Amino acid sequence: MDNVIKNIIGRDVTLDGLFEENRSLIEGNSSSVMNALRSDAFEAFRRLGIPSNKVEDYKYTNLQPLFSGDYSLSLTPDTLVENVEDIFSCDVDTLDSITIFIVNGWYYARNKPDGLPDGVRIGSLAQLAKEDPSFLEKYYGKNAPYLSDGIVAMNTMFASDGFYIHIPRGVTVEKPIQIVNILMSEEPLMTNQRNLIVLEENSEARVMVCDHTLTSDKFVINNVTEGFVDRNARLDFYNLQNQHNATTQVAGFYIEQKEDSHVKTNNLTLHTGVGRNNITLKLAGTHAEGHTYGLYLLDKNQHVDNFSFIDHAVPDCFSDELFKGVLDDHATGAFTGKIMVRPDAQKTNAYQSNNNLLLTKDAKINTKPQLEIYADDVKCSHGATVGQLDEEAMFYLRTRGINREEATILLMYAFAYEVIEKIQVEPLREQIRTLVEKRFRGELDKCHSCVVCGQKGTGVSCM
Amino acid sequence: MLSIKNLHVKIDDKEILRGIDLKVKPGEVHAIMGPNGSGKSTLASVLAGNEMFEVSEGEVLFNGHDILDMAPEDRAREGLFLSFQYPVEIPGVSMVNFLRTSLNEIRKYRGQDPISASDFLKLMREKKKAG
Repeated sequence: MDNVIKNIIGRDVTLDGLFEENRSLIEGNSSSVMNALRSDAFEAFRRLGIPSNKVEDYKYTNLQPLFSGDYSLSLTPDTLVENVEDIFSCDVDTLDSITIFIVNGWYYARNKPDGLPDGVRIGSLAQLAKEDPSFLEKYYGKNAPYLSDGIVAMNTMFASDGFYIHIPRGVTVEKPIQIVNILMSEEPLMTNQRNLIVLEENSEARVMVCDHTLTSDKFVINNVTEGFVDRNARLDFYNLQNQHNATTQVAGFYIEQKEDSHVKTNNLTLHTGVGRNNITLKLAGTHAEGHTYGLYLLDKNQHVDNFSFIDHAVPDCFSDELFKGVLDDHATGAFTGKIMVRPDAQKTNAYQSNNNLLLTKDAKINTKPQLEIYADDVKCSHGATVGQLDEEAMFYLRTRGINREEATILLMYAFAYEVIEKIQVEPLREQIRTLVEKRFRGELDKCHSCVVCGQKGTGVSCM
Repeated sequence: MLSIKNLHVKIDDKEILRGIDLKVKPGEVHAIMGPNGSGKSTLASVLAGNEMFEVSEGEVLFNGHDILDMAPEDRAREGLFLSFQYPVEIPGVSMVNFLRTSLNEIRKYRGQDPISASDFLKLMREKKKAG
């Protein structure tokens, strides 16, 4: 398959050509563990390319046009003069958390994650590859399908840095760990960030990743996060996406769970341009529990595609999925809920639900439950709904003096609430609740390019 | 206070109310009775402002204002509203939040300042005791 012709700032070059050209630079900045996979990834990428809508799993989001165009590539760490803390104010700033920053895909050099319990490590993936290669080798590339998914292959080719979190055996990190991904650039930018989360036996952590854009340039982001949750460990993972309309983000989360582990992911898309989340939970130990939740609030011509894959590889596991979306204006969305119950995975319990609220006639959602069940003693359910605001409820609210706008906000919020209440960390839930309400009131407008963008058909800048 | 004159109401070209006249003075309590399908609920819904129904003829004055052109929320703010036979339950909207939003909308309409969440809770507790 031909790979997309890409202009890297003013000249035509294919992504694989670009890789070959910069390979020595990328490998020079990196270490042997990460470099070891680049050749295979490169070969896979040459075969697969950037997924188009002809690839079944990407049917509703053709990434090819989004990954072509004029960009620069973030191949070296940024040398920021300013302090990130000074230029960035977090929407959830009152949260008492361990906070670290990632700037354009690179671990921010002045991060000082303090107050960590003994043995807990948080830091730069590139640094880890240099200092503790044998640790990284055990995990790197073990979950992410870099040989079968073109976009992961691309990440594995180019990836240089990102964050890693390592929670040793038996340790509980009480404070939420907050990773703030910041994008800021003077010119359109493409980043390939690679992250790793390792929770050893009986450990526990809450991780929240916030994605932000600070400048109005176009961004293309290809993130891959691998997670390893060992026996009886517990991971709560939140991803809060709040980016402007000229952003394309593909974020892959590939998490493997061992016996009795408990994982909860929650992807909250408040604002973006085009977003694609690949959420994979592999339930690889008996009595593992996986919960995946998501909420997407879209307007104008935003597009968000949530692709989840719950892999029941062994018996006696439980999974639960709930994704909800509110789509306004010309927004489009997609949801795929793939659940695989492998032949031995008897006594599996798997639940899935996707509900959508369309506020206009032009908003559109494609929702696809995809259950593959090869065992015969399982309990699986799935449901998908697409609907409008309940007119009766609306009338009821209006007869109590609440005007149409306010009633709409109240009803949208009520619809979204089911996902928000799944957030178990109380202060975090309150913060996100407020953010969602702000978002519905239009007080959280991240679309810096709105003046040029307006509505559909006025230009590609706001895709 | 409330005066209905020759009110005709249609739903999808089917006439349901054919010329209702009713005058209600302050302090009066009226009960409207009739067999099923005679239009009692329709009358109530039309007065509350349900957009499913179309008023083809007649006028309704409430405290001297013509209310037929008003949105349901404005009628409510003027003091006319419908108590539902089967109140709508909206999952995710808490009663406190709903009541406070409603009260604040009406206060706004009357030019009063909105009441804060904590003051509202205090008010609720007082009312509960009084009841």
